[in-house]
Amino acid sequence: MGYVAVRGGSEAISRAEELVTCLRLLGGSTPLQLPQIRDQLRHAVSRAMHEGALYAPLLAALALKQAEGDSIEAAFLLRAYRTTLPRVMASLPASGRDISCLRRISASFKDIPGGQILGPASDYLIRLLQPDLAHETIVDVARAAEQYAALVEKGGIRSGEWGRFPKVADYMRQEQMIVDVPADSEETEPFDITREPLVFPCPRSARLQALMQADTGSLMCLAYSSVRGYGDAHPALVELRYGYLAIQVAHPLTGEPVTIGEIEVTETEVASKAHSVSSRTGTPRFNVGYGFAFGQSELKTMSMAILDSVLTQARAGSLAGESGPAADEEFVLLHTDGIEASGFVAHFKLPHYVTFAADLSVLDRARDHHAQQQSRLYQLVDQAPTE
Amino acid sequence: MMTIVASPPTPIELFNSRAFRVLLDCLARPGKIGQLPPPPYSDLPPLPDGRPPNTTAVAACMSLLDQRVSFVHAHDNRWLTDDQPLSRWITLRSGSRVVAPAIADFALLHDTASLSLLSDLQEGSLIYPEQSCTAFLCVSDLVANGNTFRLTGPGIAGAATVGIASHYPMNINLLVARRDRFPLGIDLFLIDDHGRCLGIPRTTRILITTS
Amino acid sequence: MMVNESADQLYNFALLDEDAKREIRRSLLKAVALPGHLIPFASRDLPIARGWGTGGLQITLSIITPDDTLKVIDQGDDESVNAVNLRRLIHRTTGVATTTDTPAASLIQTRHRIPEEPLRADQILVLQVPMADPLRWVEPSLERAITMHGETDYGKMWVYLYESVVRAGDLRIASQYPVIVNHRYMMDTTPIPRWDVPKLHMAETLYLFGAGREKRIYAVPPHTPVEPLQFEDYPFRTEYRPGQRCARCGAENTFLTSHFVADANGGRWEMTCSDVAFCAKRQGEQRDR
Repeated sequence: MGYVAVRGGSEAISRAEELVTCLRLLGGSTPLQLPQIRDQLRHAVSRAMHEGALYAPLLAALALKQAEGDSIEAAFLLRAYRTTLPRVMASLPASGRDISCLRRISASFKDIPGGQILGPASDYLIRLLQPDLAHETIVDVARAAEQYAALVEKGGIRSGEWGRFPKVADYMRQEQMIVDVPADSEETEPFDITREPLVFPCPRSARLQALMQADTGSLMCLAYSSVRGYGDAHPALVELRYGYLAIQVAHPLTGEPVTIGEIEVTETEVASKAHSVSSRTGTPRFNVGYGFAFGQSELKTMSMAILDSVLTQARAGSLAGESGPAADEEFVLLHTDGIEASGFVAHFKLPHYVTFAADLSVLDRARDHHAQQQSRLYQLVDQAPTE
Repeated sequence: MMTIVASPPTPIELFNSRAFRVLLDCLARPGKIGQLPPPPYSDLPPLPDGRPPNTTAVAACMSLLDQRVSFVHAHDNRWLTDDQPLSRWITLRSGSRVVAPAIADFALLHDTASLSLLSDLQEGSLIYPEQSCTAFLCVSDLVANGNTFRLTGPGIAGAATVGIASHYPMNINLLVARRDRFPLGIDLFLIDDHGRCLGIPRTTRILITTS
Repeated sequence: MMVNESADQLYNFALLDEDAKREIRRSLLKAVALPGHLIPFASRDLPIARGWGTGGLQITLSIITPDDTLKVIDQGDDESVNAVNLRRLIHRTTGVATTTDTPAASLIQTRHRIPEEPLRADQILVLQVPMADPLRWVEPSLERAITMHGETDYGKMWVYLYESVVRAGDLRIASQYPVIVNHRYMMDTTPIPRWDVPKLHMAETLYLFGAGREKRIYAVPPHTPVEPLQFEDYPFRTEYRPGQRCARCGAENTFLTSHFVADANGGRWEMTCSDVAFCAKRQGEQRDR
């Protein structure tokens, strides 16, 4: 009789996949449609897009559905999908100045040119659960549309450039209050972290790219630590913008800029109250931090901007007081990618019995050594003169 | 039975992958003469003297080129300019551009008359020794157990002897020069008219045995 | 906007785009020219999670040709769930023949073991690497560690080992054992047992190492010295115990791991070969006699 290997590996994987697939629908509820996720869970969609580093709201909705709401898993799906797409071309540089703002605030000044526009802010909502959301019907959809139309009418129809405002930072630059982070002298093209390995020290463009696709919770944790004393942050919110930004490319034949579409983005700039020492001869100024992400992503962009300012100052050697991990660029950038961090933490579920066997062998030796030490000790005690 | 979801490789992709296995094997086993597959190109523009280049050598070098790396190539002891027909042919198909030799990632010497130009190429730094040029040199004949070099070092069981023949006069000493600065150094492939390949990484110690 | 893709959309051969393969191939050549030295590469996002073999996978996908025969193992086992998953991904994206028989494979991807049967010059072993830099035990900053490697400044590591002897009475490192390659670079051998470390020294085969998450590639060419760190009075030792024996095939010179076997009496713990295919082959040979 031959050795029948009861090898269940392939079987096990197939069954596991089947189980995950059907578990999602076992509850018997109506399958979610992608537009529902895209429209009604837009913060989850925003997060999947900026952590997945792919602007594609409907695909992000699909990823969230497939991942059963697991945001890191959804971002992972988008990243893996992005790898398969051919790289057609790079867009022309886009500026936050050109955002058509739905929301635009500054904490540094009470009034700013163009005014403070709260927009769709959830900051001042009173966090009470609303049970009537459980009974929404198509009637509520119609009512929302009417309500929105009424709000728009109340605001008045404006002609000309809708939602366009000057940058608060530009005013501060003019008044020489903030320093512009100098461009790395060797860089003519921005670094591409998907095409070149990150080595430290890294250019600022690499840092910003890495921060933009980092896990929001990780950035939040480090930004929080840096304002609690583990870093020299002291941020002041210069401006936060949320709205639509047109993306342009150079026409392949004429070279003229062509708008290919608009994306929904959030942009944040902070000034750090610690004085920058990046210029020895110039007058003292505040340092600056920048955050940018797809969708309405205020926590992400604020955390990003705070960390950017801390890291810039750390690089320039101008940190005062205690510094912590948030000031260590390598620590921040290597531990905040959600796909990498979750992958490695989860990998401890993989079999490790070979290394464990190796560990046991070392443990055995250590025990032998300990036993020898003990027996030698007893011998010494026995031999000791008993006077 | 699982469905295969990938398309088969194109002829160029197939050449690139098979050629790479030969290059890898030759660099890992200096002294072993490998055989590169037939190149997927024909009708290359001629060199400045009107002769055709070694198509297999060009194809092998090109298999590693794309828009993220740069190259230079030389003939008759002169670096060719980027508007030379063969330069443009390579750039068009690979996306890689001709740059100054000191910063080139890859170099192709079409003849041994250009050997002295090896000293123009970058050798890496102590922290990044891998940021060094990989060079291809065209020769006429490579022979195992020959009497040009005796090679020792990683990848070689004991020692290996090779014979190198060339159409043009060859100053063998130029191949051996500047090899004592490990981890800095250039890694070299020699490719002959029959598509045979010899790899000499910077770790190989070369003893000239020919007089 | 919905991308229109049918279920049998064809991907590029071996999944990775040609640019990705080229970058890895370039890195591999430099890795061979600099034995034991870490080469950074721009690791791609893959449909498999980071930490689950993406580095080894990217090397395999970059070097595999339709002519290859592939073997994939994890902990020495072809049927380990992770090995099965990787093997089917590679097969689905290449159509390449697969095998569990080590001598029949031209390309072997492995996690945490080197097969028992000696590998030949016409085979390549690709190892999956979790943590690439051996200096991380004493210097977690990559920026500082890379300078230490450049200047052959390995003193801190020796101190670490010395302290481990003082504390535990012997060298404390169980796996991921640090070695010096070609008398120059200190290298992490990956979580293979110490049992497998001697196989790297002056071997017939080429060893390639891929760390996807750490984004590093390195290599040990054949016939290259690979020396484990040790002291004269505390030499490097493998896990070998005199009298060890596989409960299935009787082998006395293979790496064994213990596992629970259910039986009529409530079950028992057995020590058996971790190289399952080799063990099964031995058992088959014994029966045929």
